[in-house]
Amino acid sequence: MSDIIQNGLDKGWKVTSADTLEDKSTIEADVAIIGTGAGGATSAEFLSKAGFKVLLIEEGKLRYQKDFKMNELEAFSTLYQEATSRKTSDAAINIYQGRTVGGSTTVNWTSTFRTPEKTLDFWASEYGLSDYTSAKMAHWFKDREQALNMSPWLVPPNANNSTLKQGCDSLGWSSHTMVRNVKGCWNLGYCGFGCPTNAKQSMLVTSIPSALDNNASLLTCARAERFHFKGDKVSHLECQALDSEAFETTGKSITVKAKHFVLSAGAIGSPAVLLRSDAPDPHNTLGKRTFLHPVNSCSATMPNEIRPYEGAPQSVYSDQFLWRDGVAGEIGFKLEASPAFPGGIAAQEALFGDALAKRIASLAHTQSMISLLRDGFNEESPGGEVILRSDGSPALDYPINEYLISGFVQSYLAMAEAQFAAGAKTVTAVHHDAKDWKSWTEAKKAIKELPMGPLRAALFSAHVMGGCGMGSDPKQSVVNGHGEHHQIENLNVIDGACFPTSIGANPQLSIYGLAAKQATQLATRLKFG
Amino acid sequence: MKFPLTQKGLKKSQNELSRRQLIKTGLFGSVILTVSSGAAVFSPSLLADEKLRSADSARQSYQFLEDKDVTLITALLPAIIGSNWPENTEHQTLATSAALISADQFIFRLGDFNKGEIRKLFDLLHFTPSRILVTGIWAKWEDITPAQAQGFLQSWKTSRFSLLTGAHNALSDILAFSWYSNPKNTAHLGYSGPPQFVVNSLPQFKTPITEGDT
Repeated sequence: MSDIIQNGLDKGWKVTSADTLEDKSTIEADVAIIGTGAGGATSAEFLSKAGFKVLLIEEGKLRYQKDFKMNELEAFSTLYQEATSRKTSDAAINIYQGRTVGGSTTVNWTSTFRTPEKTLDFWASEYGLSDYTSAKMAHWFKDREQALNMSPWLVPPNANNSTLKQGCDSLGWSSHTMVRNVKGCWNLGYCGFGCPTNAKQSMLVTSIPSALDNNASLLTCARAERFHFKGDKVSHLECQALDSEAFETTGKSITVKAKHFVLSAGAIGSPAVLLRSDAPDPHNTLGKRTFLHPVNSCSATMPNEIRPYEGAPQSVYSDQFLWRDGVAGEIGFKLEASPAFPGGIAAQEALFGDALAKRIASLAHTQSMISLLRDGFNEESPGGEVILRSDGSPALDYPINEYLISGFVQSYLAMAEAQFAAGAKTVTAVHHDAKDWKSWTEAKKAIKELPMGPLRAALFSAHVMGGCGMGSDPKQSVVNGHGEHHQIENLNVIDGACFPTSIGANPQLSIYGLAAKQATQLATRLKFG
Repeated sequence: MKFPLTQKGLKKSQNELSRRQLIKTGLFGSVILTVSSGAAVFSPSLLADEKLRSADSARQSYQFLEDKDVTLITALLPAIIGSNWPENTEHQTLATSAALISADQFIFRLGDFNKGEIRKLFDLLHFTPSRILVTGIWAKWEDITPAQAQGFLQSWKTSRFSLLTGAHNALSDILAFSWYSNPKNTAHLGYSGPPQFVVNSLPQFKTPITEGDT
């Protein structure tokens, strides 16, 4: 079996780990792109194809098939931001973001959705983004769907997902088959560990190889520290070199000079680079409106074996409650299944002792359901704010208010009802104070009485969006609809960081589509002025 | 060293803290923490303990853990693992060594900020006055029972101070992850790692491939 990355390295791709460079080295390019995830890699593919000399800069190491050994400790501690321990400032929400070549696309669960039409309509009416209607975006989504082999998952769903479908069916709720970006998938279930078979059409095996074939360069183990400005332009970017494993800084700095810069460092990383750079922020919008699709979950013990660690992690979803009170009313939520492995349960659920022992021992019979809250569409849902800690590293303040809490309670109810409808013996909320409930009646009563104070519920997020929101009015945004920074001439933000609200669906295709559109526009602008 | 797993009636009040006490302790970042990190006490009883020999020999390769952290984690693990704690003492020792190596690797990779936070938490638990204040436990770590450890972890979990709940979450998450991310510890519970046919057919599980990313 040949590996696309190993082959590329063998034939001479320009890939450099920053630790091998001399202190104070300078690298030059036409376009320097910070970040190699969905936004950065797509931009690199389009811009290198248009003939520009592209440099991709990545904080993580180049890890690929040879490193993907389906081991929880190894995967969690090497492929994710803060080794999966990134949390909101009050430690209430655990944040899973990739930190490796390919960004979160290397570790995502392959779930694919076009941006919902209702979301795009909201952007047009509230943020003046009339170029982002479903009709105008269809071309870009289709382009990326074809390029990344996105198609409905025709293999029967694993038991974890079919239980979700069964629950929805018996209650008369809608549910659908997921679209996934895979080619020759082995249906193993280890997507979150880095795809061991290269079947997942992540940026790591698609757009990044394309860009490198088009003569782009990739600098790994390099943390973008700050931009330096001259007038209203970035003159250069200062990077910190990390060690060869990308765990610690080396003290060496690297200067990157380019005609144009593209910031694609994620919705926490991108605002953080601008904050560290003291970038102009005349309307106090930078880092604000950062969204998470906050996730709460319920676990059911089923009479049959589920083995939630086997098979495509997500293949069924329900939008029954996504727009339950219109676009901008009470918060809506999407229902999905979540894969579950012993270490992940141990790290996420904040249990210990016999309670945890029992959870792990019953894992084979556990159905794990999650709800993703659609944040950012109501004035009670302003999202979070990216701030800098004293050491310059970013943190996300994301207050949990009554508006969100009422959404969590409603979604606990929906998940428990669906699980009992699918035949669960017991259901529990993943929450410090939840018990194993034996019936829907018991669960309904208990959920309404669950204390929802700080740190009681186990919450997480794998979708960080916003923080450099786009809009036509500089007073309510950081970049315009092209991703161009309102105040800095040679800087684009092309990333999920641009989203003015959350998406209301797993965001990878939303980012690919936006990046394809914005990078194409940028290539035209750089060519013809 | 015995690890009786029966939950003994630990009085809740024993672990409760007043707001004033908590402010005085200044959990996470105070004078006490600065003092305590300079007051590292090496425990000779650890070396003497036959069961921990292998854990000790691995110590040389730790990137983050100090001797006193090893003592602390070794004392807390049976409480964290509860009824999945192996009965056989040899298994206990081997699994503890493996969990220590995993915890060390995991914490080392958390990044500078988180490493600093964990160091503060560990120091708080090493320094006798602050340990007694936040855990209510007077005994040294190497002398505590799992019931005592479970008692203070439970009191942290249900504490009205979210800082203590957060400390519980961090401690139990890291230690439980270090244990349960090892398929050897879960094989008898139904998860034994990736399927054998995958291991047999994929190249990354065969001969080492030359590093090429330079």
